[in-house]
Amino acid sequence: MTLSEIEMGLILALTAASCAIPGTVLVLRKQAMLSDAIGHSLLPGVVLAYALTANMNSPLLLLGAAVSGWLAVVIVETLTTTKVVKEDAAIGLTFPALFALGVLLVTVSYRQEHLDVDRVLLGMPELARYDRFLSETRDFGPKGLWLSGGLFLFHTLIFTLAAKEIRLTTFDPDLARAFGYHPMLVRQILMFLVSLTAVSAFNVAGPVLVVAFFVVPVCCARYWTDRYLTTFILSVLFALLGAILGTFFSIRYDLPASGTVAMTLGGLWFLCFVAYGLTSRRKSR
Amino acid sequence: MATMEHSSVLEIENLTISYREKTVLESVNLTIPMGVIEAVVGPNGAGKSTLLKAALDLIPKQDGRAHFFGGSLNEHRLRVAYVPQRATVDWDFPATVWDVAIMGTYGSLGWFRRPRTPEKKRTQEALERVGLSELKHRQIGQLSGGQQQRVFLARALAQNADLYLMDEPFQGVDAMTEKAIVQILHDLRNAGKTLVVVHHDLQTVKAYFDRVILLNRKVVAHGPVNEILPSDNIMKTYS
Repeated sequence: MTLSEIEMGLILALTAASCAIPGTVLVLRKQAMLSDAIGHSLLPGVVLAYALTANMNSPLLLLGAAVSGWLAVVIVETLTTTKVVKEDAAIGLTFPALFALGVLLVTVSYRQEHLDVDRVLLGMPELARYDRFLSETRDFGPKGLWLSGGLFLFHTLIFTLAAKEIRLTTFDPDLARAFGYHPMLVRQILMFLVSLTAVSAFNVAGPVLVVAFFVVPVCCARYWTDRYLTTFILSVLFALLGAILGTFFSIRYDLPASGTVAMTLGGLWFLCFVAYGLTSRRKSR
Repeated sequence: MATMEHSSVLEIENLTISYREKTVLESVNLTIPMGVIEAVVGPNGAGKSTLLKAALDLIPKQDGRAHFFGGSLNEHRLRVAYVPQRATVDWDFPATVWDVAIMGTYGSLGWFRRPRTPEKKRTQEALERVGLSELKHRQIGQLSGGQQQRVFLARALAQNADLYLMDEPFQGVDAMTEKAIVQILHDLRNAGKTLVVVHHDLQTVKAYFDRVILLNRKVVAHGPVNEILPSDNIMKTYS
């Protein structure tokens, strides 16, 4: 393996791990598809921010993305509180529209330019390592590595510190409210963290792999534990495993990394599903 | 009847709740005295659960107010325990019996503080009281309906409240467990606590409860079981 391949694997692994923590909470809240909505809704924000700055490296792009991901959640919640549409339908109403808007903006305005549809649709982990933290004298490594590593530590800290609040508002929001905690506030903060994580992962992984990073690791973990903390730890481990194995396969067979990692995670889930079926059948006999 | 002259623990004033133009509760006025066990009885859709939730500010009120211990809910939150219907939570959630029971102490902890020895002691005592201390490491989805109901009861006991608002605590419970839960509720009442219990079985109201609220979107009748139940109030409630 070359250094560039190792760097790509590390970026993908840390991105996956940083998504797995908020992803676990999303799945336990039965809101997995909100990550899909957020992941897809980042696009129009990126495109509009690019239109304003004409600079692919501008931090405004990240801000634009975070705002439009956030906007998607606000639209979904507003639609849900009217009680005419349920949350799943509200998600289905929101993100195709926002994503399609983004795709249209890209194809119409930037046909000749840097921002191309393939990259936007699939993500380009292979290119992530060329965006580096450089000072005048030193190379500190790829930005994606610092960003995802930082987010992973940040999530570990936040989700440990607020473990009690997150657990209570997730399991029994009514009791949380009766106790004077604010489940809506906790929910908003969580959605902001999901949006932030999706933004940082989007550039590396693209919208489809982002959803896989949020949802698949915890689905694998759920087969092997019914403990709360262990669910988080196993999710992170499955995320790391899926990303590293996927990177290996993509290099070995010369396949696009984004799709290969998503497929590998899907394969891991299938193995868990089968193994769980076999072991639980043996137990019940 | 001087013993009935306790100060009120929960006072509901002119409570009206509607859901998309359909009135669920209409001008409900209730005063619950201290140290009684009170049943809320009525047909499906009578607004029994809504009454508890609205009192606790879990759903918005169109009109009306609830006073707890002569003050606002905010002033007395920790003295009020809420036991929701069993079906309202996800029993596949990765949590053990202990994890759920200790949640009862979260109200007294506040943001970011973790349970310590006193909270753990209260949780352990609560689990022993409902007879679940041996199952405390079990995942909650692997419990029977009666055991799940007892986990919820343990959680409320761990809170150490003065007023208990319980939504169908006997739902899906076998006869043995029902007896055990009733005994615990009576012990609480005898210790001066107040209990308001949504109940669906008219047969047992007299045996289990001191007082009864007959509810069908409005309060049809309210008072000691002996005065309320023999009359034609039942017909009025269920028609």
